[in-house]
Amino acid sequence: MHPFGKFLEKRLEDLARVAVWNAIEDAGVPPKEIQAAYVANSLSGLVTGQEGVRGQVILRDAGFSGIPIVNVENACASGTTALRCGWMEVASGLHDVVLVLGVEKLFMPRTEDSIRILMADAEVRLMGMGFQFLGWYAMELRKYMAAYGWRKEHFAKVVEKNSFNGSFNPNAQHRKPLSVEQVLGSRLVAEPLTLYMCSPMSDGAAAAVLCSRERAKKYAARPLVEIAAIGMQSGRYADPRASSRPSITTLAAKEAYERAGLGPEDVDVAEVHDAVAPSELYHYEDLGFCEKGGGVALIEAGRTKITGDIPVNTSGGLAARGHPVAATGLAQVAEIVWQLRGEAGLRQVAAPKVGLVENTGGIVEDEAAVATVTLLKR
Amino acid sequence: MADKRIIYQEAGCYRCDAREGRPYLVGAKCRLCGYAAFPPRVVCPVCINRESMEEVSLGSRGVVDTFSVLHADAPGFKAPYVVAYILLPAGVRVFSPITGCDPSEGSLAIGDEVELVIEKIREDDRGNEVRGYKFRPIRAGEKEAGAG
Repeated sequence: MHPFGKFLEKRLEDLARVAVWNAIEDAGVPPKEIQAAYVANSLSGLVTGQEGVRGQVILRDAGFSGIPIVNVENACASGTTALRCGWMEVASGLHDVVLVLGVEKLFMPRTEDSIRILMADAEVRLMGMGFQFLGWYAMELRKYMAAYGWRKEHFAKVVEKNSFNGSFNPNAQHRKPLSVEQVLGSRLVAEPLTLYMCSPMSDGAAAAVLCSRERAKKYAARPLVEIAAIGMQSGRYADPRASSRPSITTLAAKEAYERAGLGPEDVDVAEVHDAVAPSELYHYEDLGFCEKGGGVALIEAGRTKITGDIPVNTSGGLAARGHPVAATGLAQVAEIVWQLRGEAGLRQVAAPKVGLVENTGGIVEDEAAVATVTLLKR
Repeated sequence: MADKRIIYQEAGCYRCDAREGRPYLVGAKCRLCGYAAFPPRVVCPVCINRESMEEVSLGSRGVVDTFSVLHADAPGFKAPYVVAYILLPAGVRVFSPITGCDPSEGSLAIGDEVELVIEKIREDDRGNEVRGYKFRPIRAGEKEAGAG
């Protein structure tokens, strides 16, 4: 990874190069043996004007050319979408060593330019109607408040947990633990959400090297982590039945569990896509960690803390670690890999065997555009 | 200074009833499965059939499915302002700004009845007036004034 934060003085290439070489060093793979690469980036075309062939430009700077390079865009889920591409390429037998990278640089000298560009990850026609991402999350959460009695205090408890976790994460953008009172006292952004409940604007990069089992055994200096399965689903949009049907995250999780022959009860640690921290509460149910509406009981009982029986967002999640759109998914993967190898330091959970990454992206009409669920195991 | 114009955003998505002067949203409905879409679509995504969708009126009234008061500006929209998903009788969820409603918590609720209006929703970068659809809460006493 390249740490997440605000790096006005760095270029996209600078962030990517650090993440790529950290991943290569970590994997113990001779760089010349990388046979192909997938580069995830969502918005830099609008930031720099480099709308096409960004991956080729970025990886040239990191030292990689003359291999097949594919550009991947799927909004906030771009990182795990690239992971899925690389996974398929290795699983198909086409190549044995594939690099996947997620990189995003959103900070611009004028923040209002960055905000305008970020909106391009939702359907553009909604922008002319005053649509905002945070407002969408606020509206989703309001339905849970009405149906299940969820309250702002519960939302703040998620931030309290995740900001505490993030305070131990050297790659996190925000490393200050926040109290429930501080979260509730921060300014309103989209009722009922306050500023500290929301993920920030971020720059950053994360990368992974994928290998076939045989190759991995040859290189590995560290315990191997296997991709047990990846499930993926896109939205159905404005279907009134959608609210009574399983969410696309639920469907992606079901696919991943079935392919891996695992269930929610097998998951020892999870990173979930909390673009606003309280959305973690409904992802618990999407992933089968609780019944519908049961997310609040999990947070109140402390079950999703690092010391709980199903730790979630040990990294600090998106609100603390930061959310450089296309880099997020692979940063989630990095956290789970570190957890499974027992290298997560003060964030380490007790001897996890199976980890889960949930990553969602974009909004079309009234639903997330894409969701992926990745199961990793020792 | 160039002349200011009036721009109708997504003009194909709403129309005005010639006799009553009441605006309504234009959608599409599948003859085979009943799936309704807004904005209108050519292919039914349930049947994946390109012959079965036909244009329909989605009426001018609905209920608030969920909403938020936004406290950050968006291009053309000055905070605070209210947005909502409106559930229409045909069974479509439509994102819309809300007008005629105080932008403060408690002034709108899930389940409130709302009515379509076509009016100015923002100005574009050049200061042109952009008109489009919005919904406004139906106040007590107005509810008998037509079934929508």
